[in-house]
Amino acid sequence: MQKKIDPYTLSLLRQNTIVLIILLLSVILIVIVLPLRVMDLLQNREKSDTLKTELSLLRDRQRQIESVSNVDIDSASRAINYLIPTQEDFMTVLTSIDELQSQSGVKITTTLDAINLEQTEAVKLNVTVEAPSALLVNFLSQYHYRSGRLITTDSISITGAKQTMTLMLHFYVKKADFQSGVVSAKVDPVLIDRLKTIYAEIDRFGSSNQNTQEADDVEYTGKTNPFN
Amino acid sequence: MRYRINLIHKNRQYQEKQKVWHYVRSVTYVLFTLACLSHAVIFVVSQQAVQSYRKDLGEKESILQYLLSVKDKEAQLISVSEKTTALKTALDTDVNFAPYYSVFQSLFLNDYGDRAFEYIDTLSLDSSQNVRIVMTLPDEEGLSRLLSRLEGPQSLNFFESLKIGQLAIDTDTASGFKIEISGVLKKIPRKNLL
Repeated sequence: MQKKIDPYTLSLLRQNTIVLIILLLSVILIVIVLPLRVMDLLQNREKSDTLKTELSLLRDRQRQIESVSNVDIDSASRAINYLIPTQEDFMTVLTSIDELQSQSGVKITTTLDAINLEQTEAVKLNVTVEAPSALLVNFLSQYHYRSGRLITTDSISITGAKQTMTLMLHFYVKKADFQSGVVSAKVDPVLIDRLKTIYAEIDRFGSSNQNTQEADDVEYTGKTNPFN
Repeated sequence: MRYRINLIHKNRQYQEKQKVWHYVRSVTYVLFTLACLSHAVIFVVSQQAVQSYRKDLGEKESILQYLLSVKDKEAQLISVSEKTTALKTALDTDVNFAPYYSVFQSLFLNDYGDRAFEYIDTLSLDSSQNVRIVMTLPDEEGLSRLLSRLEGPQSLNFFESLKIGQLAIDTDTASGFKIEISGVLKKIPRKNLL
């Protein structure tokens, strides 16, 4: 049997129809719409944060480039590319040895099979240097840059009576990582000046001619569309 | 059919119903106000976020255009930066012989002038400053001077640790006075390379 609603309740329901609609609407807004809007907002905030991080890195890149706008980075770049080329090749190592020999006045002998160009960061070459003592001492203070290439050695053995010394020469190559390097690239102006001085010295010795092509080689391919 | 209404009883029921509806109305007003306020706040916050996002996007666009216009310079900058780091690392592994030799010469070989080099049988040095020196000196006085200098304050400033490994004095033959010194040198800072 259907239960009848008493007339007073019915009249109260009729009077409060709008209240009931508003109540229903409020519940829908709070329970369904509000969580959706909040989620939407959080997603947008996340997107905005990602953009801000990206922007901060881009600003750093811009700042770094602007900070060297008054610095002659071309000379520094040329100098460093002479000293540490991007790619190693057999001829450059031999030319450097030859250049070092003629600039220092010493006699350098090595065995060709000692060159291992497979090594990625440094080519090591065992050499014997012969010269009068004064030239040997002079050679030891100048071998780092004089050939036009950066040369280091981690051990030296001198036999004074024979006026010879044996040392392991290290020649370096470095391929710049343009993807990860963009963030950390920093150049000290004092260092730039020092590199310019070294470049002038290399140029004065005439060693730069051998590596001219190498010096301009930065092998950088930028994006044609920056927004992709 | 006739209806009979007990007004006293019904009036109590009406009042209770009125109370319930009053409560429902109050709750509705509160919920509605809350819903409107929260949506208004979210709308304002969203608008601000959208404006900020658009502003950042515009800035990103202009920076990217700038970077594109200076991409060669940036490539140079990265190349110089990475290669100078590599250069510094390489120089750190270098033996840096010249300053050590000049101290060594002033300590032990100054007495022999230009011929000093001839008295070095072996002088080896590595990048950890491990040194081994074998010398054959022509005279006993030279050996005495060397030994007294080895014990002197200058030598203490030069050597981290010092050991005399061999001391051979052969007066019958003309081979001279042989001494072997080994040890570790104190690090001399690199000057003017980079």
